[in-house]
Amino acid sequence: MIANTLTVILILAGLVFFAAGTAGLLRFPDVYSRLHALTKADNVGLGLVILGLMLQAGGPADILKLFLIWVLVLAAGTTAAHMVAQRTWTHGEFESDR
Amino acid sequence: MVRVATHRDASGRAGLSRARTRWRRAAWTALAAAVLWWILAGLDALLEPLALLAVLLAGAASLVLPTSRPLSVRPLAIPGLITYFLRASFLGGIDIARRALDPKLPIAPDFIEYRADLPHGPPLTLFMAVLSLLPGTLSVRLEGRLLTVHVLDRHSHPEIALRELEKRIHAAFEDPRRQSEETP
Repeated sequence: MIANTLTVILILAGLVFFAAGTAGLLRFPDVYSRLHALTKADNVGLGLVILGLMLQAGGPADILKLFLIWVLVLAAGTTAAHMVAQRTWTHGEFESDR
Repeated sequence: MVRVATHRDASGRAGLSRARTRWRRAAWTALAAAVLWWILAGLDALLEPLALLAVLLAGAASLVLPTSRPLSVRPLAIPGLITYFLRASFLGGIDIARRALDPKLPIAPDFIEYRADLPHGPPLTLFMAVLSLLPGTLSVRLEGRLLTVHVLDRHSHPEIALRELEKRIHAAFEDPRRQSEETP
């Protein structure tokens, strides 16, 4: 019961961060600022969702699997953000490509 | 004279320890492969002959592949680095969520240059990766050791956070340059 309540709270909190990240993606003025919003908010959002799901996990293997997902998404997210930022630096904003 | 002798002694020991590091690396790789198999497929699947073969081959592959430059990690500094990262990246998420949802959109984006005194390879890569998850900073470009960093709020003194992170990564890795300067 307590675990279920905590799961709901953690996942809802995570969704708030996903929503905030999306709001930043839409509202921020340029590619770089949008990258900030995506990587950082999604990292915390996914972290909270994963924490919530860990409370429902069937055993240590499931918990580790969820943790692994978070670490891999984190590594992929920060690397992708850097690559998009670098590409924007050398080639200009994407809008100007058209 | 003494200096030459100790030098030769050290290189002999280095060769021996390199062979030992190779085997240790193979053992760790096999262990990691086994744990990964267990996480993804369960304990029963790990005891299948095919899984054991894959685990052994993973270990063997790391013996065949060329070794990278030895990199010493200070295990004692790792928990501190992880705690720092969890705290800072959580604050980073809260910071960005607050700014994104604020009707006034309080951001003042700018670029800063930062010279990182970390050796190339894992320490610098880790620095650039973690830096993008700290509050308000995003690594854009690296030229030599000169980093171009995008900051979301130029009034928030991002250099202080970057120094702090650099110091912590410094503490977690042995710097090969610094070591060779200190030993003679």
